[in-house]
Amino acid sequence: MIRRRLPIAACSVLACSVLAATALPAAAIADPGEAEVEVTVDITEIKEPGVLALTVAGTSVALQENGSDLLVRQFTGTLPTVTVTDTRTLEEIPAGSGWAVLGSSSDFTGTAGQAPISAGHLGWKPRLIDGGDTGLVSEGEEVVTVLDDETQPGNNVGLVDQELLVSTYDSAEVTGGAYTVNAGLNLRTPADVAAGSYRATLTLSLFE
Amino acid sequence: MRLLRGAVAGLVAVGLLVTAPAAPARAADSYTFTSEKNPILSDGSYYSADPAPLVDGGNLYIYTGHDEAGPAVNDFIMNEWGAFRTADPSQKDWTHFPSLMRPENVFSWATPGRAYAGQVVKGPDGRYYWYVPVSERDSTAANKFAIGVAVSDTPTGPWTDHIGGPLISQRVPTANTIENIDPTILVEGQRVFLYWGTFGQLRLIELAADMRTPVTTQQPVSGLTGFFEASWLFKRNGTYYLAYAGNNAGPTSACTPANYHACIAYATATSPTGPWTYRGTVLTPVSSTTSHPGIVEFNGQWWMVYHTADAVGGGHFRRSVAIDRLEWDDTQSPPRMRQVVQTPAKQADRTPRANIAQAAKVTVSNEPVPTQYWVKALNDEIVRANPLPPDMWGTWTGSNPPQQWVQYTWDQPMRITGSQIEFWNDQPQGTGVGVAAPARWRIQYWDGQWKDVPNPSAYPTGTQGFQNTTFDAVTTTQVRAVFDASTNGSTYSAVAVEEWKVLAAQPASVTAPAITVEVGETDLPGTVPVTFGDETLRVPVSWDPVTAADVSAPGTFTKQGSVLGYAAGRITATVTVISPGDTEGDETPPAVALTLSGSAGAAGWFRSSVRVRANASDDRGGRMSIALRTDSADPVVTPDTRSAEATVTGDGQHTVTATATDRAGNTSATQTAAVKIDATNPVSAGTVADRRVTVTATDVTSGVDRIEYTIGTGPWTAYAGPIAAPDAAKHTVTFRALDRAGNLETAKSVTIPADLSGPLTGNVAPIAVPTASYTAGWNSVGALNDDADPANPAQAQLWGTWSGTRPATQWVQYDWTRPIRLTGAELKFWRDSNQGTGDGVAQPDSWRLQHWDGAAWQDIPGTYGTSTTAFNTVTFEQPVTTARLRATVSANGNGTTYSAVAITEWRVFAGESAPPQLAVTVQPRCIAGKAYVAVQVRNDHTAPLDIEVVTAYGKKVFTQIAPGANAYQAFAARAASVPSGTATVNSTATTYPALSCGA
Repeated sequence: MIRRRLPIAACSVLACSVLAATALPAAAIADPGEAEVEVTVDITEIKEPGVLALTVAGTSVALQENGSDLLVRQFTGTLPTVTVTDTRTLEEIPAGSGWAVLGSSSDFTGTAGQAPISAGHLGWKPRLIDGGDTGLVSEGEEVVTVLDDETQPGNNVGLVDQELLVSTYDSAEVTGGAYTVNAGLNLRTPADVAAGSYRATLTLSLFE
Repeated sequence: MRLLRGAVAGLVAVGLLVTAPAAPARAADSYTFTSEKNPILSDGSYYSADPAPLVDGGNLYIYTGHDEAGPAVNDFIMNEWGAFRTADPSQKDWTHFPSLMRPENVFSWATPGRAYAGQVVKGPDGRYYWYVPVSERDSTAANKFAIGVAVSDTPTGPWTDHIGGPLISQRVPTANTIENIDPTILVEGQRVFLYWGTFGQLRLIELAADMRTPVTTQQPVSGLTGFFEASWLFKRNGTYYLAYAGNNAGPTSACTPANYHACIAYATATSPTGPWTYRGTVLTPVSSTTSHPGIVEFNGQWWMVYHTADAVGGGHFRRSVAIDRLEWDDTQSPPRMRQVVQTPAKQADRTPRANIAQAAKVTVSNEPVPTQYWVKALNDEIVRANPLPPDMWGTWTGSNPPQQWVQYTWDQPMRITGSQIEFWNDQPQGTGVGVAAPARWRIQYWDGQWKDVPNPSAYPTGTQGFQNTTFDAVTTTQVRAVFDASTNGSTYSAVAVEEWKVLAAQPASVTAPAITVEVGETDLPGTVPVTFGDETLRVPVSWDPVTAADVSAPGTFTKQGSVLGYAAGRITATVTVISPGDTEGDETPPAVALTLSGSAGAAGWFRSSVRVRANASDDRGGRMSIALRTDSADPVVTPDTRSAEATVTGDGQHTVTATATDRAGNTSATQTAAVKIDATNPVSAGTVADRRVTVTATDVTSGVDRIEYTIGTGPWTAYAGPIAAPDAAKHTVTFRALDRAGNLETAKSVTIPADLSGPLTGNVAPIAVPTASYTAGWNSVGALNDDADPANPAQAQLWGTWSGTRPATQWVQYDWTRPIRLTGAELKFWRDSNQGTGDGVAQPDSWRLQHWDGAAWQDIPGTYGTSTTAFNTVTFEQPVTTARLRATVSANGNGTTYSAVAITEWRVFAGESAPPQLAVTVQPRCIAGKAYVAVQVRNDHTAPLDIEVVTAYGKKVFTQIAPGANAYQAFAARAASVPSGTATVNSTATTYPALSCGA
């Protein structure tokens, strides 16, 4: 699994500022589980191994108020473009495997002690930018917030749990390419939300 | 007189009467009687028709034929002529000569019977000449009717043959092709003019003073609008008049709504030979189908004699002669005849009964009704043992729809609980042709929308006697019977109803309210309150007439009346008569109330013009003056009244106000009624593009409520957007719009063409365009590929060639819009004659299929049977790819001529490989401990496709997926496991197993 963390800042209409993002290294890191590993080596002829990798074209997003009404305040932005690159050969890909990028968000915490806004208030709508020409890379379905009516069965949950950003049906069919996707982000709060700056972190994970 | 046209079922005329006297009847056989009213002889003891008057010797003679048909016989059974005689029609004393002449006794060349309409005239020699139609015994002509002339020294015989043969026939004096009956003669000095003919054909010839020698050739007569038969020629003050029975029929005809019935129309001329100018009508249709005028001046008064079916036991073939005054309008030039008023005037039937249909306005689904039928038959309370088409409402046309309806509308709400209907048929159910009882039917009432009546007992469909239905009582102004036509699976029969009664719910009792009238006021209230539980309706009442003596002075009297639909008995009202001048101390204003009646729609709209009635009442009981005002028009004031009416017309919203003023001058408060009218159907239009139907509709006044559509014979569905074809086949989409007032337009249809882009399999004949070398007028080339194979096809369900020149071969052909790979074909022949006859339609000698290869027709080898009872199947040895296929049939013959050929159905089978167009893979998957349903679809079709994927966890539509490309989606279950289920791709389901990610 590969993870990227993105700080997200929401701005109140009164005090809007872009907060500095805390970017993590853009290289792949290991799953946090720990184990002792016996290390051996068997050196064969030199052959560059392929990799399945996730990169993100930015480290922060500031959401802007857009489309509020009397009952709901809404702040929108765009997730920086996410690229999945697969340079593996067919032999390197486990049979029948498919990769997927999931995302989930932390709660928004107020920078001045306001009550937090739960992650269920953040929704997204993934947009496939380049899925190749096979039709086998698809963006995930939109996830709407707890303030919305569901648009697909059970999808008004926000990004509390990991939600699908992009996936492929069969890794072997699509390897040898780079695929890009972004998403419209959408924070919806009750109209009486306390003014101030809030921050959350959206974590993207690549699975196969 | 007229022969029956068209089909009349159930002729039972067996055994002519054999009691006829051997010699002409004498005047001594006559008897006298007194006639109080029309018909002159009304007791049913003797039926007389086709009256021809003659004034002679101070008497009026009316010569007639004698109708002797039995009560259930639909034919003119007429064997003799007779006459009525009176010295003064006003004195009512008549002498009847029942049998003055029989054809076979006077004319040795005539057969008995067919003693149709004649006329007696006095010749220049003072003798009496009787011109009569008879049937010529030994004629070889197609139509054996002829006109003979009998002569006598007295008006009542004895009669002898004046010529010794026919005066006029299809052979003499020169050949003609008409039916030679219905003569009328005018003698002017030494000149004699004879007109005759029927079925729209009138001829004129001039005879010499000997009454028998033609001095001109026969000429056709024109200028007589709607002429049918029964001409009557006479002269008044230098103008010649020609009256006749006309049957130009239709809803807008000045003559008659039903073409079996006739009006009496007339034309004028300045010469006895014309030219004739049509001048309108003089008598409306009578109760018998036929009508026949005789017009004469007698002692300074003009009279019209005619016949009706009004005698006891009377009918269309049991007619009786009537006489009424005829008045002239001499202010015009030439003078015109005023409309003859038939007496006695029809009286409302005040017998207490539950039926209320007779008080309803009738509307039907098939306006304009075919003119052989007459909608008034539905609620005229007359059911004949032997009905003709005008004795019923019917729907038969060449093409009959699956549903028809009849609707009754009353001016006020009525409470109803039953129905009695009499169906007529000439075909059994299930034939799909002719007129049959409906497959099923139901009764609905209007309650803002049409609703089925609650708890109907049954909807029987027998055709003998009334079919009874009872249901829980409902209160409504409109009720209708909806008939689902009987079908053979391909075509529908028509529906016909002789009578439909609607039965009122019966109140526990009806008590007449106290009634007050002024001296001299003879009108009693038109309605009385009738209570059903906690509901009180104002129900029409028909009172016995109030006489001037009843109301000549203050006092009281009682009067009986019949309440519409109340069967238990008549009611009695006590009526108080007051003096209108008694106004002293009256300071109380009257009260006025407005009621609206019309065809009630939905949401307070009316779907017709609206009658607004103002009913006023005053504490003193006297009459009032009522002022009614519609919109901004000047008020209309009605004095000395208790009610006034205004009719509001025109789509839109109107306002009616009313005030009443009593004898003392006190004026009521103003009452206002809003009247919303939308009598216009919405109009929809459908367009087909990309095999989708887009429907739009407009309604100017109340607005469109909704559009409904159905595909094929499916249920009506509310329209929400363009209608896509459900599959690649050809489909008919029918649609209609409903406005907010409840007006529903007649449904319209468009056709979605078949999608031939994909591989075709099965019978592809229905998507071909059929043509043929020749098709008989009563057959249909479209029957070849209508995809219906009824067991006993009607002629319209066949392709056939009988009416043509009948050559040795005929062909039928299918054309498709693209070449199709065909693997076989089959067809079934039809026959009505044996092989070897050289006539009719016979089983053919052989046939073969040919396909067009772009340059020539190529035979397709195979085995070709010629059965007329089973499909003859040809399996192609090699598939043939072609856009045109032809079946050439070699007719059977007798060596000289060939029989015709006919085919009931021709099927052609395509065998195009149809690879699976979509490769669908569905897998449940675990990603990060949560279950997903992953669906992958590959488009294996040759064209881009829209793909819709539906799962329990969401759906997605992919537009225009290219051939060979994929659609893929993973649907999140948002749970650790999924049970087994299905993913549906373009309506086809694929299953997937359960999966748990918990471990």
